[in-house]
Amino acid sequence: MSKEVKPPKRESGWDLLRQENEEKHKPDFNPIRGAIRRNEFLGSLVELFVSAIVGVSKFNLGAKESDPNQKSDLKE
Amino acid sequence: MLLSLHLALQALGFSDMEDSELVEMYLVSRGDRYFGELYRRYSPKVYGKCITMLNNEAEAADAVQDIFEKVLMRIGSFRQDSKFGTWLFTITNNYCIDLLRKRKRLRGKVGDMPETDIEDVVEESDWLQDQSPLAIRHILDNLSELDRAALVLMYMDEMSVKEIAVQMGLQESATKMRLKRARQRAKKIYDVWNSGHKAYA
Repeated sequence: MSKEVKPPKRESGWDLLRQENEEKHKPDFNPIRGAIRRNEFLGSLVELFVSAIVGVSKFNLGAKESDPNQKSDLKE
Repeated sequence: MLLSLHLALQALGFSDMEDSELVEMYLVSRGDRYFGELYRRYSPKVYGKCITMLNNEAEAADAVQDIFEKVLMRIGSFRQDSKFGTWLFTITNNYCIDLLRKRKRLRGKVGDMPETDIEDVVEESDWLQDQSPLAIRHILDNLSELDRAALVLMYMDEMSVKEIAVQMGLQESATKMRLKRARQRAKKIYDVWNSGHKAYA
């Protein structure tokens, strides 16, 4: 059984204009690379900050040892 | 395991990778090579779209950088429900239309035509579809910003009226009106240009 072959779509003036415009592009990835590096740097700062907070809360750094005899201020 | 996948993909080269794989690998590794490959694939198309919409080479070049920076900021929230290209072109269209709106606001509402019957917007004979790139460029160069955007979305992107309405943030009826007016203005521009051409021929 022979397959029906579709004729290729005729390119309209709009398609040709799009191609002409695309060909004018002069790619420059450097500014985007810079943005990626900035994001990476900010991301690592946030990560550092979060791990510092987690560290402080996990190891109770800087907190006084609680006095077992101290009574709670809350009414029972 | 991710590291071995990363190395295997590097050995294969990026050109064989799907867009979705590049997005995933970028999110995992934050390696600029993955995003660079997406940029290589899509920046000419984004530039082509921007220059057609904005009609200014310098602005189009800046727009490409801005759009890819936006993509970079939002890529973490890209859920891959749609294709990367579709998502990117939605961002591109939004960016260009916002910019055109700002320009229009700066210039004021000049040259709006009175409302006319909108029923025959889509049914009219499609003379604009069959024009040469030279004629289309002349028409687009001489149309107002939002008329140009509407026609580009319709003829270059082959969007439906409904899709154009979503993209331009308009009601469907307002979009039909916009398209009808844009086509009327385009016809006037074309007729003047064409009669000049005939006179010289």
